[in-house]
Amino acid sequence: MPWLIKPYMTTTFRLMLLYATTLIVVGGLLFGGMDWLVDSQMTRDLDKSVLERIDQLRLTDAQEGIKGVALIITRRTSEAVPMRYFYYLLQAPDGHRIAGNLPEMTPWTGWRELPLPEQGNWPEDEQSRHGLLAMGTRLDDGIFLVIAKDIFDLNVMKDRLHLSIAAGALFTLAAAVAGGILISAVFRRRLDAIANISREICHEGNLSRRIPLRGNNDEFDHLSGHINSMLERIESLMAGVRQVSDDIAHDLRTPLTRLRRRLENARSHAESVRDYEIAVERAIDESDTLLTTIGALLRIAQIESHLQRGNFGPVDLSAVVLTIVETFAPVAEDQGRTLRGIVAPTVVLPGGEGGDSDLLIQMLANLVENGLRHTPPGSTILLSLEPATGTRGPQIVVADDGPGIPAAERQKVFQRFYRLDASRTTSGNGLGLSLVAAVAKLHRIDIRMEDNHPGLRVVLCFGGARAPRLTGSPDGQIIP
Amino acid sequence: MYGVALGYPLGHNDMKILVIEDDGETADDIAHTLQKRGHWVIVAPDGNSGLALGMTMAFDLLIVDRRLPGLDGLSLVRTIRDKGSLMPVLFLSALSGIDDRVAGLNGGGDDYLSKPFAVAELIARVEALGRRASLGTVPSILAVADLVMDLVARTVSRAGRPIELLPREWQLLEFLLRHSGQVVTKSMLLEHVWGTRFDPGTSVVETHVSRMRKKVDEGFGLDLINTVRGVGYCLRAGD
Repeated sequence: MPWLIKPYMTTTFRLMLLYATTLIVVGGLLFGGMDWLVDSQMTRDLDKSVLERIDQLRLTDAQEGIKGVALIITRRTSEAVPMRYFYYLLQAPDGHRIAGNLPEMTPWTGWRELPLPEQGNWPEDEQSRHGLLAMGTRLDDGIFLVIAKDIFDLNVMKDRLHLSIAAGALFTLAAAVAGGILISAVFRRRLDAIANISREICHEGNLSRRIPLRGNNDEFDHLSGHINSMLERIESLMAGVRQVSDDIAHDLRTPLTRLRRRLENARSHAESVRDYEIAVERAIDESDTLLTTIGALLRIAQIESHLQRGNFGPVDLSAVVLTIVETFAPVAEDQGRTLRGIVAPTVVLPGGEGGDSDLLIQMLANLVENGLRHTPPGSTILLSLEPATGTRGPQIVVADDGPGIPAAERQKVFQRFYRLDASRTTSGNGLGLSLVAAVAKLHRIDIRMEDNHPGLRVVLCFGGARAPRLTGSPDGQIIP
Repeated sequence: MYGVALGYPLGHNDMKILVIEDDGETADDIAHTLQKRGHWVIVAPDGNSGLALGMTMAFDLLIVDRRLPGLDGLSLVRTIRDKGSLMPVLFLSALSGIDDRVAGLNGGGDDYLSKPFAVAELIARVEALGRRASLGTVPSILAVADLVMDLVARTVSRAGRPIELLPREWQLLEFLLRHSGQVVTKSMLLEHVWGTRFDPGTSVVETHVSRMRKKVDEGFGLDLINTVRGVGYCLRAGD
């Protein structure tokens, strides 16, 4: 694994280090504070017990005189189990000991550390922990009093505390490192999963790979989800591009071959300037058809890749449909067909983002022209705009009473260059409905082809996939 | 539609045109075509030299490619517009998306033509733009020969006889009258009369023009609305 080679380079290692350092610093502060607190509290307790005894003896001195004091000291020091580790010295001004179990010494006042008067009563390893904390004071008549306490308990306590602190720190450190490694490993594994998939996609070009989700809805799942939807998008775009290039390869080769053959014929067979002129005229027409087809393909591709959203704005659907009816009614009439429109007034495009009215006009124009092209003379094409109801958005219906499309073919007609056998001879490049589908998808229009008994009925339902944020009144007026 | 213009009427053509286009063959084609129409053409092969020429000399029209080496077409036109110049600008572009067209028109262009284009389409748009700049004031009455359109009273009459027009027919005739003597292509009519850039597979423009023509020309001796084969229409009082 690469992170073993240069572990200091990985983010996870740095995270681990940061985690461990933080734990150690915080732990150190905590333990240090605890040590200081316990130590000072215990020392204070010890001081207090010594001072209390001094006060007690001073009181005795005041009430009963030095004899009383000496009596108490003698009693205490001669007890079979002396008051645990207390030592006394009552020393006369001339330097001799009146009572107590400490050797005579030069008088002093205040706190002082003293060696133990007797050695060897304790095991060897405890020796160093013993020591006296002594308070020297003067009573009346120059009498010197010392009360001392063995700090063995304190030292033992301190040692235990330090031991447990050290153990705690060691455990914390171990936990920090282990936790860090664990976290790194978890991060690493999730990241490796993403990196591996990315690498595979890069190397194999297989865009259908997806990062597996854990299903626990964590940040990695979110990230993976985003990457997956990005991959999906790239895949569909790539598929679109591939589709377009395939289409171009397959369906443009035929007219190009025809163009070439015609030019070749002209070169070898033309006998007059007029022949050449005709050939050139035809070649130009043929190129125009090709250019139109390529233009249509590019336009579809552009719409499909959602690049045209920039042109979105509010759209008055009623106006759009009326324009189509008004524009194509004379065309239909000239072709011996009838175009009728039933248009609900003041219907606007639902949803916040609006639409591209140029594209919507193009879409409807293609559908109406399709109706004109694939119906016999005398047919009627009905274009209607119905307002939104409570359950659906507004819808546009283009219906004719021509031969219709067999149910099995209804989805296929949206494919590029797909043409029904029956319509091979009519004009058109087989891209009109592909463009309709692309515009519909861009506007999230739900498009259905139904049987009109007889004929074809194309239903365009707006705001299909999303729940439309509209309230529909009975007469269908939209209140956005 | 991409055919060579035959019988294209020659108007009052002496415009000074700056063509900023990096593709040598296209630039030569454009220059050659426009010179044959009687215009005076200078070609700049890149954005910076184009800008230098555009800033120092007065032209009746700039033809600017969107993609240029050095300074791109949009920035060039924006720079010229920022200096207060009102020279008409026709953008050329291989980008045919509607968004690109809108960007071009918002960026200071007066018209937009996507490649590949027919020579006749270029001439029609160039001459319509040159004319637009020289129009200046907006007239309230448009007239050619005995055809009179009163824009205020909203009436049309020919030889004193009133003509009833549908709204779309009115718009068509108004556009033709405003460009009388010039060739107007079908795509120009779609853009300006329908206000949209859709691409009809059927003869939408032809149908509407022929209906309007019936009302305007039928029964009068002289046909004012002439078809320019393979290109478009021209409203004029005689050949």
